[in-house]
Amino acid sequence: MTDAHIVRHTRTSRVATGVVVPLVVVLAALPYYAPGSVTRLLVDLFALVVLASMWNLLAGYGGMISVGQQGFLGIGAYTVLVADLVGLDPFLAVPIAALVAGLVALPTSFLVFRLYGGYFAIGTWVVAEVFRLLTVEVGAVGGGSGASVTGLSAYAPALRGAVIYWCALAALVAAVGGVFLLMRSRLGLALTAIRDEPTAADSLGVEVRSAKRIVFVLAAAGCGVAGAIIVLDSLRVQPDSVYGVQWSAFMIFMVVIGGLGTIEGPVIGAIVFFALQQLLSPFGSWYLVVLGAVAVLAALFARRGLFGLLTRGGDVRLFPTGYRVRAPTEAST
Amino acid sequence: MTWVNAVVQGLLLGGVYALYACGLSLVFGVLRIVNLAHGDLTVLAAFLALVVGQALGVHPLLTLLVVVPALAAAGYALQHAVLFPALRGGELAPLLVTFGLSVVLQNLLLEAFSADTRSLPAGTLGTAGLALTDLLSVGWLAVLTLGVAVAVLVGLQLLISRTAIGRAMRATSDDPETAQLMGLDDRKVYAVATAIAFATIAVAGVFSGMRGTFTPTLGPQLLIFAFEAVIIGGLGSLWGTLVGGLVLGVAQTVGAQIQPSYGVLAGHLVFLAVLAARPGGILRRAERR
Amino acid sequence: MNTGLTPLLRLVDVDAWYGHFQALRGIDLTVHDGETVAVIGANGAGKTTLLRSVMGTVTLSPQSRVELAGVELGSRRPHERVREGVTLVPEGRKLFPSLTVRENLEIAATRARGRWDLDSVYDLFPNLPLLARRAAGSLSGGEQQAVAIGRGLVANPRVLMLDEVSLGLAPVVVERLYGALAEIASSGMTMLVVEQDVGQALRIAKTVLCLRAGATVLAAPAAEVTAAAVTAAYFGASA
Ligand SMILES: Nc1ncnc2c1ncn2[C@@H]1O[C@H](COP(=O)(O)OP(=O)(O)O)[C@@H](O)[C@H]1O
Ligand SMILES: [Mg+2]
Repeated sequence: MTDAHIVRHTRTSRVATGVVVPLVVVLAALPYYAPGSVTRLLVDLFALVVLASMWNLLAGYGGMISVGQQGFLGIGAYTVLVADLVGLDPFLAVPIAALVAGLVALPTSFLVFRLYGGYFAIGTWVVAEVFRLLTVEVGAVGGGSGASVTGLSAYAPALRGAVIYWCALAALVAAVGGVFLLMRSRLGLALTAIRDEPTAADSLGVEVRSAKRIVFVLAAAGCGVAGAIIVLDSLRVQPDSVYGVQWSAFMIFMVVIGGLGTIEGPVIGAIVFFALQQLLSPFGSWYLVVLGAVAVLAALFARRGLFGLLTRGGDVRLFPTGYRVRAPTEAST
Repeated sequence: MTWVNAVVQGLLLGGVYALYACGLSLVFGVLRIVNLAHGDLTVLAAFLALVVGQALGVHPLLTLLVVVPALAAAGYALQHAVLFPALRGGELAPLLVTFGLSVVLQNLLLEAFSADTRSLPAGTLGTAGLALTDLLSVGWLAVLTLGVAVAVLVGLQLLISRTAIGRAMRATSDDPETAQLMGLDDRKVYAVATAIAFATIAVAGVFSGMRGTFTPTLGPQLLIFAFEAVIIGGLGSLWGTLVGGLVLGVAQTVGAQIQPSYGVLAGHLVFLAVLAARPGGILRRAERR
Repeated sequence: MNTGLTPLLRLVDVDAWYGHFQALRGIDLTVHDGETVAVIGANGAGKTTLLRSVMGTVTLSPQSRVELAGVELGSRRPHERVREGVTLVPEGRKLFPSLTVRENLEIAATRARGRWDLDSVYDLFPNLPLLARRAAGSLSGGEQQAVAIGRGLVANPRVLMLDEVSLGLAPVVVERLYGALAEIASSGMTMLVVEQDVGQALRIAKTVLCLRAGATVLAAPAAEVTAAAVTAAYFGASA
């Protein structure tokens, strides 16, 4: 009998390194040869991937179901508007949006962490509502009707489109790569422990809380960036839109469909969702009815999402986060 | 006097919130899951009352005879077919399922009824009131709603503390595995609890439909109010739910008295303040069990 | 009298699994009407799993059979098995903490009245009536165990299974509880008793089954079992 040994790579992950890096390079060069309509579509898609990855980080790795991430998305969006109003370059506002959303999330976590499970979910939602209602009271940012971002008119339209696209691509790489690196760190190990063995992790009470807090803050920062990009793309901020709970519905849908608790799942889920959105949006509310029903069915019958179905039985991992024990040759099952 | 009026109207509004909340509280108390479709179901009940009332040409109060059994049956079926299987999927599945359900319900209602604002025609009951003083009067419908809320909560409390099915619910909530070993069918206990919760949702939907207006997208708002009432009062306590509803109602009317747009915000802020200062709810004694 | 000849509970070739871990291997066991069988063995030997295989709360291999009075329990859910006539007093008592003592008993009581009801349980454990209105979570360990046994009895099962009644209790308390169990046995109740305290187990049992690592290592009439045989079975033949 050979000894079990611990590996991080799978064959596919080595292939993936060979695919992902060139893919990012190709995507980065896209504005030079693709029409603006394509890059604009991709900006939407990339923002969705960022949102899905952040929600997955919270729920799939941190065990926290939030229905209030639109609160941080809205804060990110309004950060761009405020930066614009005070004369800052709106693009510079993208990293600032991450910072602001993260900073707001920190005190928020002390409140909502007093709630568990479903009540945590609604608690985050209330917080998002408070952000919205407070924002609406501020006349300087347009109150209930919102305002337009004007500072971007300094850029030529083609350049503006390209820079927005690069921002979105950078955000995507940072989000997916960041979650990947995070899950390979000590923190990731702690989170996996919490997920797999909540009672054992309870004995590490304090560490668990701070690990969750870090995740909550990082996920908020990511959603803030997504909000900033969405606003740069649409050039308009409306409180009911950026703070809308439908963002949570989208995030949940993408992650559940794609596969909770994997790096790849949210990416797949975002692509599927994006395609469905393009195809089904002419059908009005029916499209959301279908989304909701699919999410229910996936939560009941395909717990590991599309990625789980695709990789059923196989050891396919493009982004190996955990350590896996290679079983000794003796048969298992 | 306007402030006294605000408080009185707030208490009456709180009756509606307590009604919203008791179904949420019951489902959480027994099944340990939070039904994120709770608000949308309340709205569904209001629309059902609208349709039944129009079809039969009867007062909304009479539609309760149809709406309550209909929602109870829906709750029983939903529990059997969807929530029970979801319970086995750990903590996440029930939340995802009920959230998906919320999206489905909301958009089906939108398709069926458009986004128009509706209300249930309460007739003279909706307009008649009692003048307490020259400046202060209360509507009969509002008083009736508060009375119904109290009655529903008392009824639930008695059901849970005095009856065999209530005992079974408490036992199953304590320890579902051992409950099965003692011969209780957890699936049935859960389904009955859900059916009862849905019956209260029906009552809440009809009364709030008469007291105010509703649209297909109102559900999330109602869920949030119900949730705030539950948490302000303290989880797992039906009396707390009543008090929580009243506190939330008063916070909103007093906030709106300061400035109309502050109403809902004031309610949220009171909720957050309670969460910060007394996370166990305002009725919970300081010490922990 | 031939009660001792009717097999009431029968396990045939029972393999039990927790995921990929096999906790029981080919267990055969017959409990006859009116008899008491003791199951002993070290921690983790599979005693609790044996009882769970009867209640249907552990996965069994397809060929495994569990029969109660000739009825194959097969795919029945736990609460249905209770109706068929088997009740478990679980390890660690598992009372419903927020229910009163009385409610804990009432919840298991069968409508069809049998030999056991609240009154006869109160007769068996005379201190319980005084505690009837207390929340079960507030009782001492011994009091809780008495309620747990009572809760098992009022279901009027054909087979009463008890898992480690003595666990964590003072010797005097264990002594009293086993006195009660002897009384229950003499009332004609069929019992399957899991116990680490071999002395107590031998006191009331007619047959002893010793498990080690999920397999039967000793099955013999209690009267013929010697201390040396038990030690050998517990720790393996070489000990
Ligand atoms: N829920 C479970 N999941 C996985 N393994 C279990 C579980 N319960 C018990 N086991 C394992 O099965 C074996 C038998 O356990 P058990 O029947 O509880 O032993 P005993 O009651 O004799 O102490 C032990 O090795 C234990 O670790
Ligand atoms: Mg045991």
